Amino acid sequence: MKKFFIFFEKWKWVLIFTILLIVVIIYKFNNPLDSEYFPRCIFKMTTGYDCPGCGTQRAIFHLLNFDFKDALKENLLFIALFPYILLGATLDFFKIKNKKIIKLKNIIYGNQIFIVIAILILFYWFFRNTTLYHHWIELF
Amino acid sequence: MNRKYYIVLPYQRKGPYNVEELKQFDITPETLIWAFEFNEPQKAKDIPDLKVLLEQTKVSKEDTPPPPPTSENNEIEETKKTVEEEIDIPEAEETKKEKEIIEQKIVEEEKEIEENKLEKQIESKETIEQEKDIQETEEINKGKNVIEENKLGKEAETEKKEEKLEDNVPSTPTMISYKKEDYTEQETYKKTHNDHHWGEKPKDYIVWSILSLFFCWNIVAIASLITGIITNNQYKAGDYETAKKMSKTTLIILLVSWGLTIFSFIIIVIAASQN
Repeated sequence: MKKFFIFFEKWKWVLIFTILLIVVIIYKFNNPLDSEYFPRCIFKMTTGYDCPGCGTQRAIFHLLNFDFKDALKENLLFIALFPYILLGATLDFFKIKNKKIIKLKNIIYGNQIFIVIAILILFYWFFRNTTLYHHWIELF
Repeated sequence: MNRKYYIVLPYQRKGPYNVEELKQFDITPETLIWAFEFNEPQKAKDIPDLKVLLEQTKVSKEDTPPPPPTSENNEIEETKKTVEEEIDIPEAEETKKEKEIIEQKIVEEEKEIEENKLEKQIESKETIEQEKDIQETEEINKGKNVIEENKLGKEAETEKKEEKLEDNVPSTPTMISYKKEDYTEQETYKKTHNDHHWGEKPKDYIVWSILSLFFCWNIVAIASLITGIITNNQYKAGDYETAKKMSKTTLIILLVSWGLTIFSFIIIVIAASQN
């Protein structure tokens, strides 16, 4: 275990970037709709309704091929929250010592905004299963 | 007036007490007190309901002879509390004491950076001088692993530093040498008695839980989001231990959700390959 920790600390960034690269390559050249090798949503398989995460894989595929319209059609909320999540994930990896940045981070990634996002996700979960949403999204 | 108050101590909180019940304890204007209506623990002098209580204690002190000057330890505890409040409350009054505290903090940060540099140097030397310094590297690795395991609490770091202070004399040139002159009395106290710290904010892995909401097994990820919000709330309320526990549970739930995704992915791949 000791050696593993040291190994992980040394090769942390290399590991992360290789995994990211592999994921990007897989999702750039394969449409999840066409092939059978992509994980499927368990909520959709059991109930038949869409969950808030349904369509993210297709959205990533369209994003990597620069089709923003199709990506937005597949999963609206994920594309909207994607920059927010990316920034937070990158900030989590660095140890920040600047006080102003810490204050800003505590505000942006604070409880009040998290609760708003949780309510948004629940609302989106309900709203995307209505026929109104399906009609509305096909207008674009 | 029937509001119930909690007395906030470094690793716990006592309560609930009424205003009359609070008279049992000798509350100074600096003690931190929390109620459900407050977002953060506040000093007793800032709460209007407790003004009567503080005045009574003043009168009682005037009758009795003045207490002996407080020991250094108590002073340090008070200064620590003020330091930790600076992080949360941006607009604090700039008195001379606080300036001194800021200076001390800067000195501490510089020392931490220097120690990190030394540790990195040792890492690079490990590859070259493996045969020579087997024992030393083992000792250093032990310390590192302990730190990695207890990232949330810094108790292990302090233990290691205590040991090194006791050793004191650098046995070989590659070992980190800690001079006694580097540590003033206050700093040694801070590093040995780290239990009295308010503590760093434990990680709420909420960004990761939001990310895992958009992938499969999102029903599990909702639980991690809720526990992450609870950690933040508990830390604000001053209940540090439960905040730590909740942050650990969020990590476990997140790992479970990601493990399930990988497991389901493997099953799908096997099923697809058989068809």
